[in-house]
Amino acid sequence: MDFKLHVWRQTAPESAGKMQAYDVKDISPDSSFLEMLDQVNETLNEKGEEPIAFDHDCREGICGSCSMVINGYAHGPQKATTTCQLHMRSFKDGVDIHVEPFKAKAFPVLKDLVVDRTAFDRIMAAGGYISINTGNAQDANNLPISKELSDKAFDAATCIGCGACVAACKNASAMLFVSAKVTQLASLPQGEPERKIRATSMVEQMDKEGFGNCTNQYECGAVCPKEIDVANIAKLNQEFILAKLK
Amino acid sequence: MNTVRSFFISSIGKKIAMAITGAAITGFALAHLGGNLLAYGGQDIFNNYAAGMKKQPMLTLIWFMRVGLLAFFVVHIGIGIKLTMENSQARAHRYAVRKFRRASLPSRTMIYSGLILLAFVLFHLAHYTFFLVHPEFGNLVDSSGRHDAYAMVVAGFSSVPVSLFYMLSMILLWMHLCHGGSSLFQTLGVSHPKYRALTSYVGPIVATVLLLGNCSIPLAVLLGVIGGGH
Amino acid sequence: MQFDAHIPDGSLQEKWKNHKFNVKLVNPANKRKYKIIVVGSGLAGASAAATFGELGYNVDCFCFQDSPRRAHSIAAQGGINAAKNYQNDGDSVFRLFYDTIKGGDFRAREANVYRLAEVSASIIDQCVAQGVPFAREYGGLLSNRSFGGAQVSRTFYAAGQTGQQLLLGAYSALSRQIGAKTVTMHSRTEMLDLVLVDGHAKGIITRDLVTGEIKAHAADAVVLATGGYGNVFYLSTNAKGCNVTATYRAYKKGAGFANPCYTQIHPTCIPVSGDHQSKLTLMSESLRNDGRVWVPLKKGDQRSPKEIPEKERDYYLERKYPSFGNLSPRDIASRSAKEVCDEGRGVGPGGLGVYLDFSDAIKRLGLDMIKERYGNLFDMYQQITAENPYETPMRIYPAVHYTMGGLWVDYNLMSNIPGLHVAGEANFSDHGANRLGASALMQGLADGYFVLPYTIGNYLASQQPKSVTTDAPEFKQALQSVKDQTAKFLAIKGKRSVDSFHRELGKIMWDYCGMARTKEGLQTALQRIPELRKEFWTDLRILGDEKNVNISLEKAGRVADFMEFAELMCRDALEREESCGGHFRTEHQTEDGEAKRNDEKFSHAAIWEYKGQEQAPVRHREELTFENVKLSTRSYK
Ligand SMILES: Cc1cc2nc3c(=O)[nH]c(=O)nc-3n(C[C@H](O)[C@H](O)[C@H](O)COP(=O)(O)OP(=O)(O)OC[C@H]3O[C@@H](n4cnc5c(N)ncnc54)[C@H](O)[C@@H]3O)c2cc1C
Ligand code: HEM
Ligand code: HEM
Ligand code: SF4
Ligand code: F3S
Ligand code: FES
Repeated sequence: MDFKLHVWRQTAPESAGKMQAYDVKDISPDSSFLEMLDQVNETLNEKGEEPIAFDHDCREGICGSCSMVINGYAHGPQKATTTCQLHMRSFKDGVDIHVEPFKAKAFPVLKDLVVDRTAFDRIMAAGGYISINTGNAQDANNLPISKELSDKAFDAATCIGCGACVAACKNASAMLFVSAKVTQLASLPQGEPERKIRATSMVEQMDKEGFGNCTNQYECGAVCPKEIDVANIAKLNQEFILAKLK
Repeated sequence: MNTVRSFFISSIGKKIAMAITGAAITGFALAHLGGNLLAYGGQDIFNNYAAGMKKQPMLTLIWFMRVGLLAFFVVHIGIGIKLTMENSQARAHRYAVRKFRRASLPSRTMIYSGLILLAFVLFHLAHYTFFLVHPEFGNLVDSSGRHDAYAMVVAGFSSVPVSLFYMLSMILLWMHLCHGGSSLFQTLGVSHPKYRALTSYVGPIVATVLLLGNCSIPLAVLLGVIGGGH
Repeated sequence: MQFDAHIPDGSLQEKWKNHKFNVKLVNPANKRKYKIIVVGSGLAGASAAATFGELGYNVDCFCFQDSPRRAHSIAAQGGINAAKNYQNDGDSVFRLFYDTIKGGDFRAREANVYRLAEVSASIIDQCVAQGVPFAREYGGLLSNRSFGGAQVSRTFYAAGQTGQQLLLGAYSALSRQIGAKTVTMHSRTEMLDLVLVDGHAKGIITRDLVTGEIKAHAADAVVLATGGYGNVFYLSTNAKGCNVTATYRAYKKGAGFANPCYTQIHPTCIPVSGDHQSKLTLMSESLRNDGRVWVPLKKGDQRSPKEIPEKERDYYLERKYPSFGNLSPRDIASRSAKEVCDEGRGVGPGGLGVYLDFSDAIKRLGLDMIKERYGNLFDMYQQITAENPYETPMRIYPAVHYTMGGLWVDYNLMSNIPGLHVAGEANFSDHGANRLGASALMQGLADGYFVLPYTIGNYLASQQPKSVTTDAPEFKQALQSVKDQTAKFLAIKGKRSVDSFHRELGKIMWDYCGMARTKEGLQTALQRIPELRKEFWTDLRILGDEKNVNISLEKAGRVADFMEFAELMCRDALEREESCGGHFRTEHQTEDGEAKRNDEKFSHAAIWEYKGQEQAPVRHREELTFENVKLSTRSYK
């Protein structure tokens, strides 16, 4: 397959970037999007141009490293699929493909398609945990938890922290990411003692990081590769209101 | 005090203020629609209703409502503008290519529909409440000596451009509420799957009721259904 | 060189208890004066760093990804073992210990493995307390599944993403300590050298992958939890960033590298589809709980799987190993797949694949149950192959998955370099020549939560806090040599990309040091690797500079180390004249093709000592003694 690729190139955090076009030839439909980029990089290297930098690691849709906006969609046109799991067979031969980094003030571009998502780590450090020192736990089966609650917690816990929700939200809001963690921990009895402080501290840090405000656009849930439900955002709102009402 | 402050400067707090004020304004709009529909009852009934609002004990109530409504509008508009400004800053750079899978057009254009609504409300007040557009509206009196609100409405909507502007505004209100009327439940934390399905209909239904009800009045005037025999 | 395992006295059951009592302690008020460097934020690194922080130590934690949550542990699918015996099916600490020792083909150290089994139960407790949403039964209690190499159901899981959930648990504990400022996290920072001062590990040199800054960090002890080196094969199930750099550079500074040739080839991976392929995807072993593995009886049978009638199918695992069947251990299942494919009975492109068929299970359990158990794996398979596994059997083939070898450590998880501790997949300690499914997660967390927090104190108690700063000449020197190497990469200005070299190296390793190894093959590899290495150092092309994100430069450092390390692996494989676990030497097999161990000569861990660039490394040994289990031929028939 052949494509016309338009890629955001930016040499350093402060420098201005621009879209640059490349002709891409002989791509196997079975290759993944990142393997296509590997191939482009191989030819760029041959030509003496610096390869396109992008984040990736597991290449199986679980680490959350890969992060691009492809043809206007975070993680590309296929639903519930990370960039690394997107295969070239889902594109028509010969089409134009636009590749841009996740763009948000809270996710500054470091180079080409690589962005800084440490804001998420800081939100987690502000309260995305249950305070239990190693060695203090009781026997795991002493606390039965209904399958329903446990499944609910699990569904929220499958967030891979990729940031596509932020990239896709018109307001660059991180609500889906934050709400997934808050819901996970608020659904479980273990999370009860810190429920209030968790919701407020995480939201406070989220606001500090310069993410936008959620206006219930629901685009985040539609691009989320793990299909995290936007109902979690309502849950977070609820947790936040209850925490503030005391 | 501190918690109240921190609540309202937080992203979620601001949204909640939007939702509460939006809901209140919507409530007013629905009640107001009910009043307006009395126009179908003819001059007497309508003028009676209008005059009733200006007599005690209603008048005191109306004043409370006016103050409250003004505050709601100020808060709603103020925070709406602030949210929008913060949100456009949070994006830093625009995408070269941008597509949406789920976010609807109404949801993406709340600020535009909202601002046009603001223009509408200002015009509307100037039009029917302060008589700034047609000072003579203030002097209309019916046979019982009441202010002839009925005649005022008929006269107002007899102008095709005015009616068109009203109806256009109502379409924007429809858009605004299609999203806002449901989204406020999300903001207020309704997360249970059963109720979520339900609340997703509230916005469009309320919006449509207001659209049809409100637009019918200028249309009825233009078609002679209201005020025809006048 | 000294390799004393420091195994405590007493019976197997009492060693750890006694040892915990006997280790030296650091006074709580003094703990914050000690700084510990933890390289790695996977299960082992994150759990260690978090626990050190909780204890009050001052921790610097490093990872090369943009967030600690992305460490490769996140990708583990199937589950984690623990001797809880919740199923009341006869499990016990001793049975888990025995299964692990036997699964490792009697090439692991008894005392370490027993301790692993002992602390396994606490891991589950700890994780549940952190909010890890393990699968549960309707009654609200934890659910278990079976895994290869065990006849009890002791594997805890969270759908097909157990590693993710466990790592996010450890990451949340780590985040809490980062918030509490006991741990400073350095993400996108790669360790490029270990610094010894007076023979003790006292710091590391790192490169900031964003700014390119090369920097020295001093500490009172160093923990390496940098994962495995499966990527020496280029194609593996490991994440693309997995590397040997940290452990290999420690090796070059004098740490013994144990059993580098022990590699695990996982039987259930999606087969290679073409040259573009950059990695192989694992289909969790848990699939073998319900899926049946088969190939056509006839050679070169081109019919579609549905058209092949039951009696013309060969369910070879069930046939050869009736009692373990589809759940036989990984090495055995992999080799059997290779065998049938070598016979020409493989399926799919190039005949390199076997079927994993769920049609019986779907009939028996219903589609919904299968969806609930394996939905995400099936989706992943479909995503990659564009085939629907609910309708047509999956095609699978073995792929490199895990490396049992690693830096040698004693009972305290300390290497032969005082102060240098090694945890998780990076050490060699618990899995012998083959790791059982669901045991790596267990080991990583055992090391980090429950072993190192005790044993590191034993070392620290003998050290003055902050005795070394980065002003020491050893740091200056190490810093310079890292800078020199970076400059060197950029100065070659040759023609070939790093990836092309990595691919070529991987091919050599897969062909000659893969699932079946021969003396000739290994010798060929030992001749070709240095040639390739030479070409690497003369024809590499790295564009861009060192002051920004430079992905080729990062890879170059990793591939340069693989180029040397590959040779060590082949050397180790060549010297180990036996077949055991994941190491299969074609010369050493029984008549029916099973691995043939040589306990007389090889019941030891091989430990390699670096002797300099020009000299061959020296092979030392740690004899393994088995007092509690009887060495037997591993049989899963
Ligand atoms: C696809 C797959 C599925 C698996 N499924 C299972 C399973 O079901 N059950 C099971 O028990 N095991 C499973 N395993 C094995 C298991 O996941 C790993 O062995 C285990 O997670 C390793 O953990 P770790 O903490 O040792 O290392 P890793 O998780 O690999 O972490 C390594 C860390 O070190 C850092 N690092 C590495 N090098 C450097 C450097 N030079 N400088 C700075 N930082 C560095 C990395 O950033 C990372 O944070 C699976 C493995 C794979 C590949
Ligand atoms: C007059 C000018 C107005 C402006 C500038 C304005 C602006 C906005 C904006 C920007 C939002 C989006 C905020 C968000 O989604 O979080 C919003 C929401 C909303 N508006 Fe308005 N609006 C105006 C008038 C009105 C009127 C007249 C009504 C009712 C009749 C109304 C009802 C609502 C409701 C119900 C919401 C939803 C709140 C939520 O999502 O929780 N607004 N408005
Ligand atoms: C086409 C539909 C509408 C008609 C026919 C209509 C008619 C009127 C009339 C006749 C009055 C004056 C009543 C009086 O003073 O006696 C009035 C007042 C008012 N209208 Fe409307 N209106 C319409 C839509 C709206 C909408 C959509 C809003 C905004 C939500 C609105 C907001 C107001 C307000 C705030 C007042 C002032 C009330 C007061 O005096 O306190 N109107 N309207
Ligand atoms: S919520 Fe979804 S899109 Fe957002 S970070 Fe998590 S996985 Fe990515
Ligand atoms: S798209 Fe954005 S506005 Fe809210 S619902 Fe999702 S965060
Ligand atoms: S590379 Fe890990 S999710 Fe895409």
